[in-house]
Amino acid sequence: MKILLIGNPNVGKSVIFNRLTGAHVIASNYPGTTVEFTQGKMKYDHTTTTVIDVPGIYSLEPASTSDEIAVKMIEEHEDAVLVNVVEATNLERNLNLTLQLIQLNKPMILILNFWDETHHLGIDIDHKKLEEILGIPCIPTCAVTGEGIKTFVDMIPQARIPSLEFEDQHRWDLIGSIVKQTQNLQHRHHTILERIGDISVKPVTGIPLAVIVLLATFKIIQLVGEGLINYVMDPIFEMGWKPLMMRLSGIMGSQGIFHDLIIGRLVEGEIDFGQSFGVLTTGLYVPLAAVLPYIVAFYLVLSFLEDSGYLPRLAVMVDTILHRLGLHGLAIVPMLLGLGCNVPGALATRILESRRERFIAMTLMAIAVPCMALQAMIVGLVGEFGIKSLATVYGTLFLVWIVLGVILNRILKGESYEIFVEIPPYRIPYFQGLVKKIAIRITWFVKEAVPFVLLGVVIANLLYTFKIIEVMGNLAKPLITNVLGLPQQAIGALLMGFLRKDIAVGMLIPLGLTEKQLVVASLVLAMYFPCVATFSVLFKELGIKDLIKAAVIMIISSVSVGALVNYLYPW
Amino acid sequence: MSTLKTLADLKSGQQGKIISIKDHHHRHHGINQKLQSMGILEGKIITKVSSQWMRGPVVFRCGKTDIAVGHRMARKILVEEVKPGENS
Repeated sequence: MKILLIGNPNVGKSVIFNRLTGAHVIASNYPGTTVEFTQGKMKYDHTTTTVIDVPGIYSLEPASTSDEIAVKMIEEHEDAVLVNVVEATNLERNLNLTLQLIQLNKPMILILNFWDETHHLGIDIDHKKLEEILGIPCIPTCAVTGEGIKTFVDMIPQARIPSLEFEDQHRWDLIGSIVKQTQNLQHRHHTILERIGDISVKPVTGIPLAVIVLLATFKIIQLVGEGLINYVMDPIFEMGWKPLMMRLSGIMGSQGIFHDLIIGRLVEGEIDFGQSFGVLTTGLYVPLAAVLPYIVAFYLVLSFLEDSGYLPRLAVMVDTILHRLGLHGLAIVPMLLGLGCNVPGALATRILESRRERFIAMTLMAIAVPCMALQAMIVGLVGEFGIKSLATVYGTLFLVWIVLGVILNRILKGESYEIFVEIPPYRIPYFQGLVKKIAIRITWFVKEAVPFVLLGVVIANLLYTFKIIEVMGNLAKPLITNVLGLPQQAIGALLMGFLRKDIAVGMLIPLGLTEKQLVVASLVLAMYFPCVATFSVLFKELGIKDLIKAAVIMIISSVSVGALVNYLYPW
Repeated sequence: MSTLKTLADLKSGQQGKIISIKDHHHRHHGINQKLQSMGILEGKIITKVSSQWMRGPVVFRCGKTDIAVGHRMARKILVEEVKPGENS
């Protein structure tokens, strides 16, 4: 058997999907570049049901490309049971799609999700009456807590072809009359969350709020990230892992090519997790101890922001700025995701409608939105010189983001669209859902990042051993030394930065660079190319022609900004 | 009988009854159709929630739904101003 979860955007389809496929057994994870569940299996009562999560739509008459995909999915799975997920707190709007689905004459079942919220909002829905009118089972649920899901699963075999018949031109009249018969509204005052909702989209209050939220976001990430490093990961590596590795080093004779590959070079007879550059030392320390804590902190805050419903409001507040860059407010969502990792960030640009917008968003992200792995290393490297040099790095990147966006908006052909987005009510994130989401993202990071870092460490060692870095350094000397003011060995970091930014920054540590050189190197590393994982996503999303265009922009802007900072930075 | 205005001209907190939504040729798919599928039709009462400085987006409410649209789109939505309590 097969069921399709269909409904308006943001009505909780994916939560229900997770409940169905995860709660009762095997969740299928179909590999893509990101963890995206669209299809999974539910086992219950010795039967296996395929569950398909269809993207949210308002209507079967497609009004955008993503709508078309959803409608096509419904057509393709002819034999499926339609499960219409409805937001009980917004019955009228949701019934439009319901009535359109009813006209498909397929076995159907209706879920009234957010049932718990109707009580707080003074909405009283007679679901038995609704069942009678539509002629299909209507089940109240609260997906995040799991209430009603079991009843729903038990009712799936009773899905039936709707008995309601009507002419399409009377659809909205019919919706009006159904709502009148089944829903009773009690007068009530605005809730606190609704008041905050209005406050956060009015300029006088919304702009300060946006600034506070963003500052708090960065502060929390910093505090949690540093806390995890200082009190959890560093002690584990220094006190637990290091003695083990020192013993292994002794067994391997403290030197030699193989020793250096596994353990790395000893610094004053000791393992230095930042500099040794062995697979089991630096190779594990960088992703797990230096970067992972910030990833955890980042997704903690971001997932909270996503689940609360603040992001669409932030989109409204920043729309005017993004408009100058040829984007609209919603582009802030992929940009924020890009601060964690550019890969999901680039994929999230799919919420932008036109090719032009997506090109601008991806190019700006690849150049001026540093991922958490890069940021963690930059903070570790430049941070010791104080806030001034950190501010120079971040300030320059932000300036590049704006200036480059304005330029691209001027010179690129095509059109950019205006914002059009439904703003969901504020919701207090459900703790268990939040934990699950963060866990999925962290697992994804570890799986993606650790192998690349290990590979990077191996390659870096090979490049040194076979003196390739020296040769490359001599070739690149005019650019690296004369224009950027860096030692020629920095070419090694630039080469490795293509694979993983965090190892690249790690390769700068032993070079003993000055404050200015570190600032320049951090900027160039951040801007010149994204890592290979991001590059492959850009290739898939943009195609070869636009990718080359983007790459040319990357090289020009990184070299010119690097040179400019090299000449202007005062010390 | 009050005069016709666009959603962009309403002040925050003011209500209007939708008279017509001019199609917005700026998009491949009409803004009109998109709004319709969300139940925002002629004759509906909408409340403007906020607008941003420098021709930024307009947020309005229709029933239980809050929607943000660009300024140009807001100028395509023609409304007749309604005093609160009246007609709703």
